[in-house]
Amino acid sequence: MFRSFAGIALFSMFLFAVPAVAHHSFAAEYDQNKPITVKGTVNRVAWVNPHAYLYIDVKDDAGKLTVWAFELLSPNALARQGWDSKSLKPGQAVTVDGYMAKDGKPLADGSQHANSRMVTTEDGKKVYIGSSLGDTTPVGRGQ
Amino acid sequence: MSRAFPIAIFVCLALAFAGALSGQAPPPTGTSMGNEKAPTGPTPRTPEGKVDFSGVWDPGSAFFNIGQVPLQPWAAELYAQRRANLGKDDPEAQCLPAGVPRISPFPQKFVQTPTLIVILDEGNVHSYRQLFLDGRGHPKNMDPLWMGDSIAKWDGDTLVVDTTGFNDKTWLTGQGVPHSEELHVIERYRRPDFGHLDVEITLEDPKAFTKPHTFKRGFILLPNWEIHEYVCNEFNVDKDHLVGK
Repeated sequence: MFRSFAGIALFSMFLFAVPAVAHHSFAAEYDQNKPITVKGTVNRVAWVNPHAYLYIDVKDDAGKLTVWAFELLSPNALARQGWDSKSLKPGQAVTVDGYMAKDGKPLADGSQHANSRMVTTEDGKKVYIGSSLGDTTPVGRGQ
Repeated sequence: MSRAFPIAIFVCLALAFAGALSGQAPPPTGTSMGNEKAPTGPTPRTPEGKVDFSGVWDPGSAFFNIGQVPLQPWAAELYAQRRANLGKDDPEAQCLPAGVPRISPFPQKFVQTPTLIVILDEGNVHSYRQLFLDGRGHPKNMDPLWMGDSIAKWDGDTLVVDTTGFNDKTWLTGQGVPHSEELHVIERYRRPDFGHLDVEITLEDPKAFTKPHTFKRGFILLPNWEIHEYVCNEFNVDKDHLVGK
C-alpha cells in the first residue's frame, strides 16, 4: 500500500506541481494561512480564462443564501486532466477546499471570493483538483 | 483513480509548497502538462536538409528557472521591491505579453518554413514570435516592442535567434527580474533527437545587468497534442484583487 501511495505521490507531483502555475501570483491574491472548507450546491461552472470559476450556493443555519466564487485552474490545464465544464452539474452538492482571498472583497458580481484546491462531490469523487498555490514562489524557488 | 490518489496530490502540493519556502530547487525534469515521456527517434529534417523544429513543445516544470541574473544595484533594488510585493504588479497578471525569453507553463507550437519560423504560445496572451530566416537585419529606428524583433540564422544544425527592440515593461520572471530597453537576447536552438528541443539563452543588458547571463531550457515534444485556446482577458477578475502583502 505504502509503495503504491509513494508511487502515486511521485507521479502526481510531476502531474500537478506545474499545471497549478497560474498567470498571477497566488500569494498576492489569496492567503494560504486561511484555508477554508465550504459546503454548498453548484450554482454554475464558468469555463473562462485566465481561470475557470466554480460558483456555489451556500445557505447558513438561518437560511440566508451566499454565493461563493472559487477560482479554479485554467480551462486548458483542467481539460488536460480530464475535466470539462460539465464535470459538475447545477444543483449538485459539493464540498470545496481552498483558501480565502486576501482582500476579503467580493467579486464584481457580488459573490464571495476564494481559491479552490479541490472539489468533492457527495459520493466522494474529487473534481477540479489543483490550485494556483503552485506558483507561490516569492522566495526560495529561484527567480 | 484510487482513493489514495487525491490524498497523494495533497501531499505533493504541500511538499511542493514546503519546498518553495525552504529554498529547494524544483524537480529538474518532468513535464508540466501530462507526465509525457519524450518520444525517441532521429532529428527530423526539412526537404532542404535543415533541422525541422516543427511541433508542439512542452516547456516542462523548469520553465520559470532562468538562474541568477547579475543585476546592477538599481535593478536589484527594483527586483527586491517586486518580490516584497509578492509579484502583485506582474504585467502577465494583467494579461499583458510575457516578453522574451519568459514563457508560460503551457505548450508552444513551432511552425517552420525555409524563411520564417513562428512560435505560438498557448499561454499568457497567445503571444507569437516571428523568427525571420530570410537574411534581413533588425529594422532601424524601432520603437520598443513587447516581444522584440527576432532575426535568425543557421550555425550548422543550431538555429541562432537574435532579438532586440524591447520595451522595459516585461518581467523576466514571475518574481520580477527587471531589464531595460537595451535587453538583447541570443537563443541557440537545437533538436538533438526527435523528442527534445534544447535552448541556450544569453541575456545582455548593459543598463540593468553587470554582465551577460546564460542559462539553458529544455522542451519535450508532445506529438499528439494541439495547443488549446486561452483567452486571458475574458474574465481576468484577479487584477482587481491582487493586494500583495
